[in-house]
Amino acid sequence: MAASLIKDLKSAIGAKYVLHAPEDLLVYEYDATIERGLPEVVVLPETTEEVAAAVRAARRHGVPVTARGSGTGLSGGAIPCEGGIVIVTARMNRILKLDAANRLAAVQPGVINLDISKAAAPHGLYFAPDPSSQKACSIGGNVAQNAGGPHTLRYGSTVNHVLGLEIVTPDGEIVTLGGEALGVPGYDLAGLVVGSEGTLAIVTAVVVRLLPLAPSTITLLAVFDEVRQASEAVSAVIAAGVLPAALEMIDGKTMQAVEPFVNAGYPPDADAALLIEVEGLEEETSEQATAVRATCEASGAREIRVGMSPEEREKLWAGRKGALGALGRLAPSYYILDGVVPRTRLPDVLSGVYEACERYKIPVANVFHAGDGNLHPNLMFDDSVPGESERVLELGEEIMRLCVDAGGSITGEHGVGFEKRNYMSWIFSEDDLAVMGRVKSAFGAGERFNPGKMFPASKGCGEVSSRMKAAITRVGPEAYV
Amino acid sequence: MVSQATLLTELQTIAGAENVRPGSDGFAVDGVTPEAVVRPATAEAAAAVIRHANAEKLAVIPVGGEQRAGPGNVPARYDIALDVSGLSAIVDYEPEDLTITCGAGMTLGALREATAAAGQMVPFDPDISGEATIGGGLAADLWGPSRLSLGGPRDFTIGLRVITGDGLITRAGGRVVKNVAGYDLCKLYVGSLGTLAVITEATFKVLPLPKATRDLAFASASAADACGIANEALMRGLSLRSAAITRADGVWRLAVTLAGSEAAVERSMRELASSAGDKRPETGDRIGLDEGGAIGVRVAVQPSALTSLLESLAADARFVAYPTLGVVRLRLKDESDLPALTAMGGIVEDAPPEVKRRIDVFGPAPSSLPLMRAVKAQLDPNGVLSPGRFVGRL
Repeated sequence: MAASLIKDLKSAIGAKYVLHAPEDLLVYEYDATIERGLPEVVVLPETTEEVAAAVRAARRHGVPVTARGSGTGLSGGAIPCEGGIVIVTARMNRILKLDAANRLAAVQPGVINLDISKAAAPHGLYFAPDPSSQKACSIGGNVAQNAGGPHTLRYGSTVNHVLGLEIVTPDGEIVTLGGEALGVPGYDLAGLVVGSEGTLAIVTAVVVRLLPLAPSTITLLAVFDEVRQASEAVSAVIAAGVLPAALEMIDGKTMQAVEPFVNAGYPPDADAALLIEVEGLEEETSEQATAVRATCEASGAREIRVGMSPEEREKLWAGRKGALGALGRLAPSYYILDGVVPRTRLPDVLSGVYEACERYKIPVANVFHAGDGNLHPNLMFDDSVPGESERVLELGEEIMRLCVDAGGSITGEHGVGFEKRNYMSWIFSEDDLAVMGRVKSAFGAGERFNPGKMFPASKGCGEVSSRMKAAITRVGPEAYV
Repeated sequence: MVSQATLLTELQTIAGAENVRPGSDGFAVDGVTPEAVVRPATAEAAAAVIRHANAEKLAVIPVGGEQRAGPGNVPARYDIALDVSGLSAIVDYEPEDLTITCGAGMTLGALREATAAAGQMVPFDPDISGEATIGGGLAADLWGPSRLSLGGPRDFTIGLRVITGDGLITRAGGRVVKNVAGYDLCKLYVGSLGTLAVITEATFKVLPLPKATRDLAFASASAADACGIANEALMRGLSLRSAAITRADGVWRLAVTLAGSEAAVERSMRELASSAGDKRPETGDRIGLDEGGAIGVRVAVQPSALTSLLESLAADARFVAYPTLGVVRLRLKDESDLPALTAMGGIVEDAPPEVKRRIDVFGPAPSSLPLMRAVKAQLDPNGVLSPGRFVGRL
């Protein structure tokens, strides 16, 4: 790393907020995936101008820039797999404006997702996208990955709630996209940048839409003896004309793992449960809850619990929300997959997932957004066993194939990142990818922003992974702490 | 530029003689008549036409049949009308997946019928004829009153098949309701007015039809009252599908569509009537914007700024306003009010060609114009698609 770059960054951002000692860099080499990559320098800007200055410095010195929010991402999006500068948005954590009358908020990218809803709650409003990591993940990361969550089924993903963005381009210019009012003329570049995984721009402010809190919510837990009954009930609920706010599935393995820690009251012998939430006026939710109950019973549910009060509902959700933490206790490592299938293909694809995991003798727990057809098989393994990580990645690839063969997608909410870039050609043609590449060129991004992400690896990417492995070897096991 | 006869012969070779006609006034866009009209039978034939145009530097405007007054600047050039109305089939519709894929030439009316037959809907309800095509509605990002509760075309479009300006047939998005693989180019294509790519096929999210709907209209004492009642109904979670404000003979009127379960709609009706102080609301059709003048303008402000905007309008102004969205659509008899409205960010939605020739219908370009220009140059390198029609004359 050139001393002159460090000097430039320190003068732009302040010496205190430029980290380059090896021990300071270690915490920024990972996110929530199993990949690793060490940055050469980490900066923690406070303002948009400081971000722009860092980007311009990177450009002058010819090093790549990777933006990082809270590091909770699940596709390696924040991992600087070609080194360079990591811009951490943690200090850009101010809610710039909360305009209740117009149901919007302007926030800096480091603001934590849940904090927006907390700030909006006194006004009867909330921010709808609710990824499971919402207590920790940043809105900047949500925008980069177009994050979803359980309530995407009814309310859509992050992109459906972003009105405008302030960005820094790869040239270091500050540009506003979209805005607070509807219908800013021109191409929807804000919509394009959402979900672009930090490859087009660094987002420095976000205008989000806030929704009124629903007057009434009912949560139902339908317990099934067989996974197939539960997955068939998913389509049956939709066919009954009900569009729930959330429709989640929790399989037996997950319930067994969760129950000792959460005491959600999950039956130990059931194979699957559906967590179904309906929102609206009381008249609406009571009618929908009745329809959901009847549909689940017709699909073979052996028991249905209904949560009406916030306490009851929270208890039913506790198992879902605590699932990942509980599963983490079952094995030293786990690998969370993210694939999507058309809803009607869910029963068959889910059977295929269990069959493949059985064949690999790798335990799997499924807890996912069934209403969207968005699968999250969690593969549990021990990464200290030689070759185990490779086998798990191979199994993950096979499961992704199942999703794609069913007419689905390789990611519903976690992003492509580093992990799935070589699967892109399964769902997009060469021409499709070429057009995406051209859009990237339009932003002048080249390989300056988050290199090695989203696009299928070209020549030289083997170098990246060997370099990443080298980084793991070099820093030793403490990097996993 | 080759002669019209040569062009027609070349296009007939590419797309089939029966699909090529000389240009006619019915296909004129803002007073500019094309040399030729091609109505290809397949997306592949459409792509071949565009590749030819790209090689010969001809200008192509995608259309969905004969034209009506509509958005966009006067085209800088217009050689070929590419009529996609032949691509009108349902490609895939599995109601329980809540998705539908259909050709861009399908009409909004046909889409409505096909989904209604399965008890479903796509919330694509712009205030235009059901004869308008999906492709046109998407290109212009046309939305209707239900945007309040159900979003606009960029929200419910999850996949597109398009042809770029250099003739590549490519896909964006997919056929599943949740998908973050790659750039979401659907966002770019929707609302690009045919300047980046020609849409040939679209996949939408669909929704169950509500069990009950009711259209009601309340008399209001003022614009502030009407706006207040609508926004309060939204905040209270009433079953508000859409809300619109009009004024006739000095009387403000709030028209709403309620949608949901029968009981929820009943309760919403009671509560709205009570807050409007109007125990016997009129029932009737959903309101639209009648033909009040030759020029259509749309102004978007914050919902909180809408009241003062509405109060500032002349007593005889013809308009419909969406109070929860902060949008007003007006019909003007002449250009006198245009400067003031465009200064507020107003966009001319349609106007006679002689008016359009004097203005940029989109008003001043946003600061992101250089990025937009770069995107255009990448997807339509030779400026074949709808040249001059978009923001900043892209």
